[in-house]
Amino acid sequence: MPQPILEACNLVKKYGESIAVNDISFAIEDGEIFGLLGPNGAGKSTTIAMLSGLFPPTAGTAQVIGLDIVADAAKVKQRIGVVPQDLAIYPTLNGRENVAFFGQLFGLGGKELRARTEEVLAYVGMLERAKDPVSTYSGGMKRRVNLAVGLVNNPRLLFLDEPTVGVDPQSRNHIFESVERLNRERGMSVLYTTHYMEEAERLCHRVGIIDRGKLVALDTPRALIARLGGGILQIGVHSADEALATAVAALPAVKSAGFMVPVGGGAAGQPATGPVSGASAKPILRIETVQSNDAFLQVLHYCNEQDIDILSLEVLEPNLETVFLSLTGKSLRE
Amino acid sequence: MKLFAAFRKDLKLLLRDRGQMVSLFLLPLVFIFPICLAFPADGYNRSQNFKPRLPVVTYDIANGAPAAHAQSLLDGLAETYNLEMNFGAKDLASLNLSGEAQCADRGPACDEAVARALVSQDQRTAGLVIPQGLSAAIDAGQRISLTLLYNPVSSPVDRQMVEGVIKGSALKLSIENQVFGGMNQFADMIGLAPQEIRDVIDRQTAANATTVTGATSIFTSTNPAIAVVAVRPAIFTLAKIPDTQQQTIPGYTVLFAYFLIATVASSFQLDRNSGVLRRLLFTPLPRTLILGGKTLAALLIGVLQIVTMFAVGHFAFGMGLGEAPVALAVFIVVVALSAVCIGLAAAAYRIERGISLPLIVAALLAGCAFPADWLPPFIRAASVVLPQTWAMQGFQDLLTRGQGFAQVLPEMGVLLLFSAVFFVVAIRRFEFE
Repeated sequence: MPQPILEACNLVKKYGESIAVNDISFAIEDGEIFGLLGPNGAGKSTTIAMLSGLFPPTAGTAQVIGLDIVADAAKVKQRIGVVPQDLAIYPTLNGRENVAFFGQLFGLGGKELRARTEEVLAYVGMLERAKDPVSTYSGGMKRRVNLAVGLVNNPRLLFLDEPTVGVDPQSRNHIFESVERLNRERGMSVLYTTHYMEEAERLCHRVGIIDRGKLVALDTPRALIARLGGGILQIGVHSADEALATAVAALPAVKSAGFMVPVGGGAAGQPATGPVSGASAKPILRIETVQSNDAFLQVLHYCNEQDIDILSLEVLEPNLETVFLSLTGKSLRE
Repeated sequence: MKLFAAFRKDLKLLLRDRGQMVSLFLLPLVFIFPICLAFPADGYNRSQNFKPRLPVVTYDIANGAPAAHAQSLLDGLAETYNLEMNFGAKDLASLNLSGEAQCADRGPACDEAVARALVSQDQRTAGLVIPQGLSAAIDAGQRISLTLLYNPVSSPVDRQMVEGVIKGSALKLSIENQVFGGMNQFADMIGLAPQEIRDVIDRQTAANATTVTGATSIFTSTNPAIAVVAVRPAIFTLAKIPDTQQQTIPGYTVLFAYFLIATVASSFQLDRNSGVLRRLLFTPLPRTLILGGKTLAALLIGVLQIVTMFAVGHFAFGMGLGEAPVALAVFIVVVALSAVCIGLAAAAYRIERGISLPLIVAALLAGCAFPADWLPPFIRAASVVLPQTWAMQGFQDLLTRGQGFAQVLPEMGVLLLFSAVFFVVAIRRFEFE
């Protein structure tokens, strides 16, 4: 059985009392695009920083391309590419100068450096503007040069940390295509972090869902969505009556039902145990369905029979967003 | 290879930072040019060579030049004053005398008109008119008067000082003349003495001649009986005070050389804020080389800045570059290094804003904008904690006092100590994340 290109075991990162990454374990196979999906502050960037040798984990171990991330940090850095979330390029240098400079840091020089620089700039579609200072680029163009810099050493494993934040649709599409081509044509493995579920669904072979430093689910996007069933219904009612939740959960097309706790009201993903407090807070009954259309009709019928006012109604189609909502009780954008 | 790559990149970044380049290269010139152009060489009135100007008109002329005793008087006055004689068309034009009748022909009458105008317009404290027949009157033992021109509204103290100097010079001339007259009489008397006495005197004269090199007679020799040879002690700080250029050019150069502190700090701030500093940590570039590249680039900029200012001073204003070019070159590097290392420490403590004002105050206290000895003693004593003080002192030792490597070793040592302390502080405190 081939060795994974990346294997993380029980990684923990603490900053004082705060736990940024909490006992994460996962592996990335050679040639795989692996997504880490989670909201801002979930611990995605910290995970990448540890895996790329930027700082050691508080606990746990990891191997990247067969090298220990602590003992062999320098060798790990030589073999991987990192595209950070920030537009970490020099605005007063031009695109070519930026790429060439980082190439030199990986030991490239002379003709090899020039050839490699032109190659990666062409790869991200920035060859025509390579002479212009980065400060004159659009946000999307800067992102593409940001990506090119990460590719200059021809890494076997590429870490892409939220590469499409603040990017126009055209450049976003260009980045998607670049990642797909790198994986398809060169067999490059990618660890891709994002809080856009559409990106994870489109690009990633497997997705790990991370929340508050913990990995809460890991599977292929299809399997994760299938796990959810037929989607989610969310209905707003006057009071968080547990009897209502129990009755709805017993309907044939419903998998489970429970009241959502509003943001800041308690542990995420846990059903409310009593009436939801707060002047503007409106209890939301979240219903995971086996089949959303049937569940919708059954819930409407039940509420009608019981004379329960439905204040709002939302049908969430099954996707990674609803998977995340289902697992954490909150939206990816929160 | 990696260090060179980092150095080259940081050099490009610094050179393309227009704001910083203006601060480092243009601002010093903005001060240096007007001051050096507007002020005379002795604009600070601090030089020991400074001599006030004294317009002098000589009517006592022989063969187109001042007659013997007039020249002696002028020589005496020239020890104290910068004598102004033989005024030109430019002087006449500036005083609106070009069309005056006495200036139709150049000569003492025209010079006197100029001298009177200068004094009456309060451009000079006083002027002197040497009358015709001065030399003849002295030779004849007759009394003769010099004319001192002065403006009644000018400072009486200044006028009395001028008058005192002129009276002193005239008295010296008078005494010399009387002494020489007496000696001539004595020589005449020797000629009338008996042969035995003349033989004794001749033998004595011959014996004296062997002790005074080149002298053939105590009466005809112009050499002083006791010669004074100037000797500079080996360990001694010359108190020569800089002229306008020697004060202004190194002063504003040092002031703005330490703006490199802000340049280095803001450069790290940009890298940190843009995330580039963090990104470098993902590469195989060691942290020491990240700092090293920036340090070397800033050092080169600092050296270029100082060299540029001194080159401008030398070629545009004729500022001397001292007698020890190697020592000057080394000292320039040491000054720039101290600024860079303090900049690293500022970056480590993330002091990126509000640096300019303290730097200007420090430079003022260090004597960069005006001579340090204008400051009260307690401030001068306190200013030893400022690197600018040592930089300024070193440059003035080299440029003004013509000293060499050995004499500026203390300043170099102190600046290197500053560099080392701030570098260690920077390394220990610097946070890349």
